[in-house]
Amino acid sequence: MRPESRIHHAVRMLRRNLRSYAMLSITLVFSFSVLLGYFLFSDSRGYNDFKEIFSSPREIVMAYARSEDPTELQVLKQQVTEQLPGTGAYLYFDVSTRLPQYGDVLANVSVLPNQASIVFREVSDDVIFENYTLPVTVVQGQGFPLGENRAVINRSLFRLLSPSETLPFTLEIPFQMEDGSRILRKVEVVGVCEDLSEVAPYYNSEGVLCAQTQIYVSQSLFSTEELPRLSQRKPLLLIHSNAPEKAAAYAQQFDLVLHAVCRAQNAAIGELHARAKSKALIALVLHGLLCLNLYGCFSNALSDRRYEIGIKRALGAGKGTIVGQFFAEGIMVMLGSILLAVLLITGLAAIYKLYGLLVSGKQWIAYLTPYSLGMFLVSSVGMSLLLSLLFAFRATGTEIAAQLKSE
Amino acid sequence: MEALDLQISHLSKAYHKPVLQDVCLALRNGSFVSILGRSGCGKSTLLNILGLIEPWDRGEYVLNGRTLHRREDHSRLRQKYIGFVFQSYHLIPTLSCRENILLPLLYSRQRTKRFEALVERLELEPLLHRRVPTLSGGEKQRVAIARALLQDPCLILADEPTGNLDPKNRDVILSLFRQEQKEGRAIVMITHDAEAARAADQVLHLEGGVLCET
Repeated sequence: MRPESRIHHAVRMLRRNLRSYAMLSITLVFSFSVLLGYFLFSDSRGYNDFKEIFSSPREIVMAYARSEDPTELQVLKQQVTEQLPGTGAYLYFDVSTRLPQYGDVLANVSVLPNQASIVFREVSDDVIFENYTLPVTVVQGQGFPLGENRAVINRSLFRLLSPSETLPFTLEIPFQMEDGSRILRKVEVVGVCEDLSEVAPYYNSEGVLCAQTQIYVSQSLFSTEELPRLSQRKPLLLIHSNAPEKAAAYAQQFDLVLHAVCRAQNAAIGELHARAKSKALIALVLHGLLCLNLYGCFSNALSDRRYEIGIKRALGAGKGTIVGQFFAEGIMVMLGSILLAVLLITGLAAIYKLYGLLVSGKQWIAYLTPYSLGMFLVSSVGMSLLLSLLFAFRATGTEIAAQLKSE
Repeated sequence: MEALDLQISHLSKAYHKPVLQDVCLALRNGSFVSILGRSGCGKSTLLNILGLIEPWDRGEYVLNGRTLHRREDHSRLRQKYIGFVFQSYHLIPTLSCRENILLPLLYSRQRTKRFEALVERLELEPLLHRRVPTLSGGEKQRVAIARALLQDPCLILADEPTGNLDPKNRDVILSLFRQEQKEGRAIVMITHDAEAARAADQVLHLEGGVLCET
């Protein structure tokens, strides 16, 4: 008769004691779930609060003039490009116009510097609605930089202007000048970009069709004499620098509306650090409670198995063998519980995400930092090893005769 | 089967009061000793010390010429030399009879051919796949004896092996012990039952912690 392997025996004992281990597992799964759930939901909160800030390009600083006068912006442009190596600055502006030939659509036109290869969403207004900047994504046709007499428009406007949705097509844009005259420019629409928001086109109280409208054209559309005479310009200086903090410091010397991605990101990092401190404290408390909980659970499980240990030791099982068996059982139960906890929390996160989408229409992203994941894995596996070993050593700590009497 | 030369001399053990005092005993292959005594007089303690599952306080334990230290883990010696039979059987209830019988192999890592022979001799075939709680007392004791004999031990320590059995099952067990004795095994049996004790070659009495021949 060939002896059974010890691992096989440990698996058999686990199966035979499944009911008591199932009771133990409920507590273990709950404990691990609380820990993992805390990490996942606190990390996700941080990520969802700041995801747009951190996805923004750090090197961008934008300064808006408070009036139509671009003088301060021009001075700033000169300063940063001269004094900060690796810095580019582009002065451009938005104007509003009506497109009467297309149902009197009110359109916002961004007049871009000729060489602008990246265009940002937040240049469309002089008020910074949100504390971030995101690049404009071209979804059809050609992108930036724009050639002469070329334009990119947003998707909603594209649907209004070209019901057949074919590119390219010609668009006539009237521009209002400061002296009240209008100049008409023909551009070829060569690209379509994503909408800034999901507001559908509508007619306002004056019967004007309003839509998410954004037209990007190049400054080369105008002569050097025409450019400064465009009406209702909202000038903007876009700085692209390897030293964005320094560029922002220069901009602060002027009376400008300033937005620096690096500042928003630094503020977010500060906020996350503050949260991390309280998170570490709560995680420490949770770990302590988890340890106590697991220790209590294993102690109970052990007291149920003292008799079996006594029999096995009387039959010749050494302390090492008993330690090995109970260590193997403890590890299997712990790792199984960790796996169940991961599945449980993943399921809960999926339900929460679905709930957010269906009820509030918000896109919640489940996120776990590598640090939290590492801490969970190290602490849960470490606790599994440590407590299983402790469980196993305690199993051999009593005299055999006393264990046999514990029936 | 291994040769056995076990000698304990001047062995003492106390819990709150002395239980064993100056106990001396020698066992060799083929010895069959019964120990009689009142409840609580220390019979089981003596058996546990003989079986190396309980430490002694003073005295000497010499096994095959080797003096054993009282606090060491003697699991290898238990596994090699000793088979236990208990009054309450001490079978693991979550395992089947077959698994209980084969349990000692797990710790010796040796193959054995005795399993089939023991199953046949103790008529255990119909019981092998049954769980322990479904067995009668006699059946449990037969399973426990099969487990004790599986590794061919030279010493069998039986703590009231017939205490829970009816006369018929008691006779079965005693005749089995006599047979094992003839094969060269030493047997130490603790009992309350004077009639059962007479099955042994030597009957000792434990009183006041002192072991004496009757």
